[in-house]
Amino acid sequence: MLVTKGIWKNFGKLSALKDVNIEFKEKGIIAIIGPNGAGKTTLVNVITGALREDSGKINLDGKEINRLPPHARIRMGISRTFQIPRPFSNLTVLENIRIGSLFSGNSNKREIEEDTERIMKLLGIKSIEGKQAGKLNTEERRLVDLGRALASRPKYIFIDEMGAGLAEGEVISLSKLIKKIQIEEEMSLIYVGHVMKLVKELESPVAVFSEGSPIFQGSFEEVISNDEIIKLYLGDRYAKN
Amino acid sequence: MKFNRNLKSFLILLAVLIVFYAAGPQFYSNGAFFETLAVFMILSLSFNLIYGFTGYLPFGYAAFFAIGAYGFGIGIIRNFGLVQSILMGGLFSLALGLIFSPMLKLRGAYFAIANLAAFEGVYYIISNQSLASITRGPYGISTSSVYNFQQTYWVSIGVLIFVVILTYLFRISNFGLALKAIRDDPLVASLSGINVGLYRSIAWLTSALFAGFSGAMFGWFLSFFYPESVFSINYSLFAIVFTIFGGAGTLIGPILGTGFLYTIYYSVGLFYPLYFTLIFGVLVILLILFLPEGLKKIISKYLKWEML
Ligand SMILES: Nc1ncnc2c1ncn2[C@@H]1O[C@H](COP(=O)(O)OP(=O)(O)O)[C@@H](O)[C@H]1O
Ligand SMILES: [Mg+2]
Repeated sequence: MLVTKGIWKNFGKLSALKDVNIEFKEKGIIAIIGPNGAGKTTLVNVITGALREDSGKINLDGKEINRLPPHARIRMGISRTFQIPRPFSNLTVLENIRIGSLFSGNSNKREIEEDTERIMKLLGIKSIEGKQAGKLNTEERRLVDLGRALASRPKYIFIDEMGAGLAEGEVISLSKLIKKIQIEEEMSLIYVGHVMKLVKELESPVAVFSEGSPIFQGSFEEVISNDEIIKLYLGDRYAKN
Repeated sequence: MKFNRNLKSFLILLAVLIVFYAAGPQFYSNGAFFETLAVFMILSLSFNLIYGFTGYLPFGYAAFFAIGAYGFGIGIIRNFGLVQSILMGGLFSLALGLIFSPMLKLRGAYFAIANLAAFEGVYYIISNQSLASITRGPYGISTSSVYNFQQTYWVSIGVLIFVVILTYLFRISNFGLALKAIRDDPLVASLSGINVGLYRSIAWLTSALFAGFSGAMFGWFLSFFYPESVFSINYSLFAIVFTIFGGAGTLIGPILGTGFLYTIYYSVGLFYPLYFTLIFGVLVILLILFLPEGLKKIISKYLKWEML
């Protein structure tokens, strides 16, 4: 189990995270939603070690991981993608995915090659394996970013906003892909985003973030029938009461 | 497949280098040219290990070269023996690399400037009168007791071969892949499990060690040198310009770049001793303006070959 206890993170006067207490189970999907600027990406940054929290604790299976650098956290199974995908642009697609596996603590050469192949096939990027990542289109960059994160055999993977800017049909196929990944790779998958349609398709529990902390947790149906959240997303006049 | 092709290029390169250095002096009997060419190839290849593989641009790089010459010279005047003195050249430089390593926390221009300042600092210490009992200060060091051109020449070629092998390993190994990833995006590299600080330090220290050896070879060849003979920013410029011109981050680039530009530099110096800094300077500016990525780019564009 991955648990945060009382996490605070300030940027100057702005508190991007305010006393965040949240638990992630070992298996399954959970969606974290909330309007832009709610602090979702900051939470991912803090959990993965890309940013240091100002206070609070992060526990993985009872062990405190706050002090660990990012490269140690991924070896413990915490992986992520980026809202704006960041593949290594001078490396090929294959090298990008291989790196995800190579430095994640697995030293079995054959397994590293197998994982790399499996992930490329799963994401449908095997055919472009020799292409330089800097020359890919946005969609391919997203997949390579995801592939790198997956190749580390994560126990927890945070997927940040993969659905933004997609058309309806693409959202459905992305949600299918996410579900398939979770089932085949058997990890805890945390989808972070604000595309409601995608969150609905995932049929997973939802945590709603607002102004730096989780204000609600429940099923998608509970979320969309909650007045507070409707106000948050659409403004006062859409709420029933 | 790709691995085999790289291996083939590598073996051909080794053969070409050995034949060149063995046969060259038969056709053009200027030993000093071939010796200094080898020294600067080692220096460029060492510089490439840090700049080409990590993107750090140390303007004071010549400090490693100079301290290498001094490590060697101090060993010789204290009668530590030839091999021990050569090793001292490398180790002095390695130690300096360790002392400088906190600088790796700085980026871009800050790193370049800090490095330049550090160069001046080391120069000041070495040339200082009050340390003359160790360094001979401003009076210079003589290593003429071990002067033996043929020996210097072949040991230099040996060191060169060693750096070539090392650079090849950087190129084809997972370690090299990690450095490339760090260069692209250090944060993502770290989030992918790469210990960024450690990997950078390894590249930095290896680079310093071999720059030290190139300095030791130079000091041995000179047989007498003042602080100014080795503490010259010109040697930083040599390493930087030769490497970038050939193609940073490759194995063949720094070798080609040094071979080509140093030959020009040397001939200009022979034929037009008065203007040679000027002519060479103009040439370098033109090259950087019109060929910023060096021969690597031309070769991949026109010969469709990704340089090893
Ligand atoms: N590195 C940063 N420096 C300063 N402010 C930041 C930084 N990262 C995020 N913020 C601010 O913190 C708040 C939360 O941002 P973020 O976590 O990206 O929200 P979300 O992902 O939910 O859209 C925003 O107001 C944002 O401007
Ligand atoms: Mg975000």
